[in-house]
Amino acid sequence: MTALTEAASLPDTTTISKPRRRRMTASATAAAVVVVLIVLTALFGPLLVGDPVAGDTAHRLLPAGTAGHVLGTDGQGRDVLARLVDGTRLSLLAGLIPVLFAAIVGTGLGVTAGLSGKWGQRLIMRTLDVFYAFPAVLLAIAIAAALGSGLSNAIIALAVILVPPVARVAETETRRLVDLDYMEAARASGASRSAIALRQVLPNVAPPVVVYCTALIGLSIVYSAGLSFLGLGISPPTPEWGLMVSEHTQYIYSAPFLAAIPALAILVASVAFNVLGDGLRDLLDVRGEVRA
Amino acid sequence: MSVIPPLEVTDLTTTFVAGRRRTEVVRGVSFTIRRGETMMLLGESGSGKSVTARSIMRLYGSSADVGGSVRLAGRELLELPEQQLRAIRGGQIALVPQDPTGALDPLRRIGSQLAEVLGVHGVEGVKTAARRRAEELLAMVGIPDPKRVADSYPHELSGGMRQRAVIAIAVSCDPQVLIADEPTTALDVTVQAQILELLADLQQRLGMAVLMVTHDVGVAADFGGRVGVMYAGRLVEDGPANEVLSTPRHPYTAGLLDSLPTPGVTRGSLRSIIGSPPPVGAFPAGCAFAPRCPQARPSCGHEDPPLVAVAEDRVAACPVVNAEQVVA
Amino acid sequence: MSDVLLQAENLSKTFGNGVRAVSDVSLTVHKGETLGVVGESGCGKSTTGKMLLGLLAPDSGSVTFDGVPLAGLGRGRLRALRARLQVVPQNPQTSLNPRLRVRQSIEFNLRAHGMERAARRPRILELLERVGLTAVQAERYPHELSGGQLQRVAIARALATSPDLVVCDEAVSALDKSVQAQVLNLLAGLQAETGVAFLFISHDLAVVEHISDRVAVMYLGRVVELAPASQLWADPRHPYTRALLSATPGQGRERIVLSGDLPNPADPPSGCGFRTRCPVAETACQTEWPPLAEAAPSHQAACVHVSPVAVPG
Repeated sequence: MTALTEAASLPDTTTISKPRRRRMTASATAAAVVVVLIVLTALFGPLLVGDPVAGDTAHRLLPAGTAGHVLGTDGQGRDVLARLVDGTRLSLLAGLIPVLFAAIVGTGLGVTAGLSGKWGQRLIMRTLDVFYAFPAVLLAIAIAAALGSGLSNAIIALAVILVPPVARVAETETRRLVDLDYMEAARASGASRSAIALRQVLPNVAPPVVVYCTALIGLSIVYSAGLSFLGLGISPPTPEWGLMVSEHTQYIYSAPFLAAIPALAILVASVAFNVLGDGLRDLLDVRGEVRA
Repeated sequence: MSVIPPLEVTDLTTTFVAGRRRTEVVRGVSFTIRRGETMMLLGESGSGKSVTARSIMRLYGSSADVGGSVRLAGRELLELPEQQLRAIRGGQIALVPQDPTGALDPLRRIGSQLAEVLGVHGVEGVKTAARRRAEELLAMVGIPDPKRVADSYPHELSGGMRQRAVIAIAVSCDPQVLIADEPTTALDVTVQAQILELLADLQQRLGMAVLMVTHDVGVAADFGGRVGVMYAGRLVEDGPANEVLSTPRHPYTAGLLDSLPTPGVTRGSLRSIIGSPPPVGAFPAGCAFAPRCPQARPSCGHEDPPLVAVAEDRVAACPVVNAEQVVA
Repeated sequence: MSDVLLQAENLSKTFGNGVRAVSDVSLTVHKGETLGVVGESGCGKSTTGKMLLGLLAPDSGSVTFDGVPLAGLGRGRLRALRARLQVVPQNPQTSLNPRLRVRQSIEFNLRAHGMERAARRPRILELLERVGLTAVQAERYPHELSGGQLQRVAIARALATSPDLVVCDEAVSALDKSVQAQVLNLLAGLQAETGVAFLFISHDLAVVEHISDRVAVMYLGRVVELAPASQLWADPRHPYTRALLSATPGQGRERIVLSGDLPNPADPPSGCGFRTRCPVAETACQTEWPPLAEAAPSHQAACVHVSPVAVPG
């Protein structure tokens, strides 16, 4: 057995492919900082600002910069900054929870479809394709309207419309793997299908799904704000960005910049998650485009 | 009297440049090929054999620094402006790559691709004549039905036929030097035999100098001519193929030959070389083979052995083996 | 060596695109032996390997492993049997999951057969040591290893559950020759140590001859010759084997250069599939593909020119 020991005695430096140096771009790093700030605001911000619900009708529509009201007050004399900061919680939750749900269910469905035979795959993917027949926003509005207004119903509606694109990403990635040598070796190992799905497929499918879902959070925040704007989400007086935009637009003539404040928050949060998703793509070394 | 050789390569170096990173791939390779002669560059992955061949044609453009000298029939190629070089490529010096599919335009018929090369290099400008010449060339490379093949698209042909078509294009302008970079590696062994036979036959008929790159010792032995054994960007041994491959004078050549499964060797007792060939960019200092060499001495780790004459028409870059030979 | 480990009888497989990949292939692997399967691209050798592994169902014919027909097995029993029937894939770059550490790749196979967590770790290190690697490499990802090291890991993984048969599908073809020799030595050493049988699939006749006890030569989905390795090398009987041997470079044989290319497997010629390229084809070859006939003791070839040798009484 000399050859065996011989081979071990020498440090073997050859590598098949040099690991790519993985670094986030500057824009992705900036986006990550913004995301962290948003999360911190949601966690601790409400402790630092005043009561977001208590209004003082004597001080309605104060302009930004007024002493005691950095961003001014709204139509009912409530502090806009307090409402904006407090609203971060629900806006973020309404963005995160549907994506989390869609990530789990979508990955499960996508991996199952990718590993199933022709018919199982068709059954799952064609069923999900039905959702693509309608514009996502319309579908979310329809579902939320059918379930009735309220935060939980808005979240359910969003979760349902986000499952198909995630499933598509997971299924595409799974099908890329099935014919590879190591998947054949895994099938030949005698492991159960669920073990193969969990321990061989999932580690490969997770990175692109994480990348995709991070970008999806941005979209989800916009959608959930949209539902609230239409009165299908959270009900007043609880602060939420979408709802705030809706309330503030009543004063578009008297206080034109008021509506822009929560809208800007939505925009910043959505763009930050989108850019962060792109950055993660490079960091996690995910090949190719992940678009549904 | 001195005849100018078709190809004279002196101290060729190729360094890939990517941003600030520079990777030395070929580190001082010299050889001369005379008219009608074959030179085989034999080596494993990362040895720089293919890069050497492609550097001669300056195929890497600005992504690599190529140093030393490459003389094609006495004319220095490394200092030639790109425009003049383009006229030479495919004309006086032609390439047969490993993958024939990539060398052909998938959207055009074989005949028109051949005719175009003839036209570009001014061999045959008249359309009908070019077409006739194309068919002659296809017949010359052993294509049984040249008219039909000339009217075919590459995907309609088998791998062997495609490689024949590529060879026809390569020899169409009567090159002085033909570079064949692993021309049969992608082919099945029975088809490989056909292509090797064809190349040997063409060389004899056309009197070309051939530079063939291969990782297959058997191919090098069968094709004959000279063989240059490459390791970590250098030639470690050079001489007539039948001599080098029967009585190697460099431990790497010897180890490579011992690694081959040949009839008569008991199973499990191939005398392999330990370790793996060093990857490009991580060539060991001193003699690059020293870490894997069974005969290495402490001095091998820092002294870079030059190629020295070890027999008539043979050079090797190992002072250890060849000192012993002198004593013996 | 009369102990039959794996028996394949009359396997055939036609793919959806009409390609008749395998026709009527029968093979036997004995315990502890290496059966080589050699042929050029499209000859059906890999498809045959997949059917023997039970990863691909044959259209007709049967595979019996240690007396148990694979076709009749329920999913649970087939999975249990896989501990004894393993594979080393071809391409070092895809034979291991890029997202798993070496340790995790091997652990996967151990876990599949219910090995306790505490027992896995020492077993993994033992396996790695056996293939010439160390604990350091256990924590590496595939992209950090060389091609030779990757195939060593793939071999360690295949051996994890102490199989009786390992199918090596072009397992050394992508390696540099100096590294290939190490892996061939490793396989031979492991066989001597553990008595594992190999089905060694390769296009490289010299490699197959070196590693195998017996060799089956395939052409266009059929076995055309089957003989002990040394005998096949010294005295090939089928004209295709002769051409293949002579085309293997560096053997110093007189070269028989075949004309033309492999026929399209979706549209094979009538009769003997080799007749279109065969230097000794005759009219009789157009009617049927000759069955494997005894050309010498334990040496079979499928050619009308092979006359059975009279066994001396």
